Amino acid sequence: MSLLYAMVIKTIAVNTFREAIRDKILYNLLVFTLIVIAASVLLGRLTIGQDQRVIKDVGLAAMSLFGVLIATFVGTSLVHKEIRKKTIYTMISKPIRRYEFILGKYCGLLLTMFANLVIMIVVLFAVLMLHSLLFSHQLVSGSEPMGYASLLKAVALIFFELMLITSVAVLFSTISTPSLSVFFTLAVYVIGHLTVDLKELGAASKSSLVNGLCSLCYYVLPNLDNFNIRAEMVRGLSVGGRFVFYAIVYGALYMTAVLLVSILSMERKEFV
Amino acid sequence: MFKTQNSRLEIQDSRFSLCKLSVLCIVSCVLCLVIVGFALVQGQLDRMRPSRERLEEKLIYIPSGRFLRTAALGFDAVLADLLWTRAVVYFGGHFLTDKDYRWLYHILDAATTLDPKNILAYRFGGSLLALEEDDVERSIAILKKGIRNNPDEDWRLYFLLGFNYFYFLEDHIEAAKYLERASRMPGHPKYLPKLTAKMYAKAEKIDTAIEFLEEMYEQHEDRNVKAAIAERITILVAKKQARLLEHAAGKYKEAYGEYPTDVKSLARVGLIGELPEYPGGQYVIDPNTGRVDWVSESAPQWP
Repeated sequence: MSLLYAMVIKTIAVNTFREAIRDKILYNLLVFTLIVIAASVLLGRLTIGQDQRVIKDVGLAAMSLFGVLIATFVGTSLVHKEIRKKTIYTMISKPIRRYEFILGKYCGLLLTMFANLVIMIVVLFAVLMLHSLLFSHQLVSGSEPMGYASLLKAVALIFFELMLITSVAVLFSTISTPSLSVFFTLAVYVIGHLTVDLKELGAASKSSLVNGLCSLCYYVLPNLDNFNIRAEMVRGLSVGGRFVFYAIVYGALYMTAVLLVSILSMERKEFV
Repeated sequence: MFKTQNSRLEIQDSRFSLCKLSVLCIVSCVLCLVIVGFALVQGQLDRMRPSRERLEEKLIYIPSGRFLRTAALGFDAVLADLLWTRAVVYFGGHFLTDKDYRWLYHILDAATTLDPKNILAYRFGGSLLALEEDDVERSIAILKKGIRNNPDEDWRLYFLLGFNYFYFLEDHIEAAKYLERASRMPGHPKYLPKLTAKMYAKAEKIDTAIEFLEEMYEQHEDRNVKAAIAERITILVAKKQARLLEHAAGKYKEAYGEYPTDVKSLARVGLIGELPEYPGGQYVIDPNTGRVDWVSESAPQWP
């Protein structure tokens, strides 16, 4: 029986993936990301022997930023597109449970994100290799080693960050219009990077009420800084395996909570 | 009849296609002209407002690193790289023109707040702020910030700080402290321990210089380096003894109204205990000034 549910989710996921890769927004953002990664070579030439570091920093930042934009723009229209095209009625008339529909859509979008990240990381590695072949003699002595393994670790956590953002995008797509969903998803992304400052603000406040509220917001809102080890990986600093493990667990738990809310929202939705 | 109608439709279709093509050509030409037009206008605008002034204005509005860290939304590293690149371009531009680097510290401070591990930025600021901008205070500030954030990474940060204290502030004690720290770090050049000892000697901290060199002598394994350090220790010991002899010569003058002619006189009257020995040479006193020096065929220069 569970195998049947898995097959349903898999079918929806694959179809969602096929649909997503036809989306023009996806290609525009992907091509732009690749251009930014390639152009980082020019930016690196302006520094004093730190070209490789700049290429890695820009590459990872582009992956993260544009990954978020892809997750937002493609993810927020997932459910609404089905409603607009009226294909949702075909779906709900079939023996497909609503949670299977949500999970299938989510997994399809994750597959899309994964494919995009693979393309981006391949281009980044290619740029780094080409750069080291052409300009290795000009590097300042003592510059950071290539560190492909470190880059992959950083990208892995970027992927978990995108998984979380994607789940938020799916949630908003079930409860709001696409334009508002984009706005809310990006707002969550911004808030996710400001929660640490919010907590520090609360701690610095003399009011225990403010402190309490800030702490509550800190624990309820997603802390996306948990997935940000880009700077450490590029500079060859070590990040403990335990930290990475807990960051992944945090991401998985938060994602599960958001998807549960999405499923509940979808269950209560009336399609007329 | 149908053939005639068909051929008429075909003619109409081809006329329509021709019309569309000509419209497209006209629109393309107009578009090209418009693009050339606004490129020319942009050139004119650039001539009216020099680019360097625009850069100055942009730098003025760069907020502090603390604010940028929050505003970066997790993109601290890439923002730091952009600021660092801008600092390099800013310096290069002014180096070739008016040598006015008033904003260099501000932008380097912001860049290093976002990326505290960018040691090159600290070195860049630490060297150029003092040498090119004559701003020793800020040069020291940025180097100390670099050391706070990277205490064990680069001996050069300590070296540059020591240089600033020695060359610009003439504070030999502080200079010696930082040079000593630099010479304890891996990768330091071989001349650094000797330089540190010189600095302590200049600050009249001869005992400290001797202690430091003795420690360096134990740590180093290279024979040549050990020999150089041993030579330096000999000189400092000689200097220390010379100071003691000068002090005794001063007392001699107080007692007898004139400086002694040789070191043995000091021993004869009991102002010193044992006669100090200098390897391969001897101490001599200037009877006019009381200054003590040593003479030897192979003695290196006085530090």
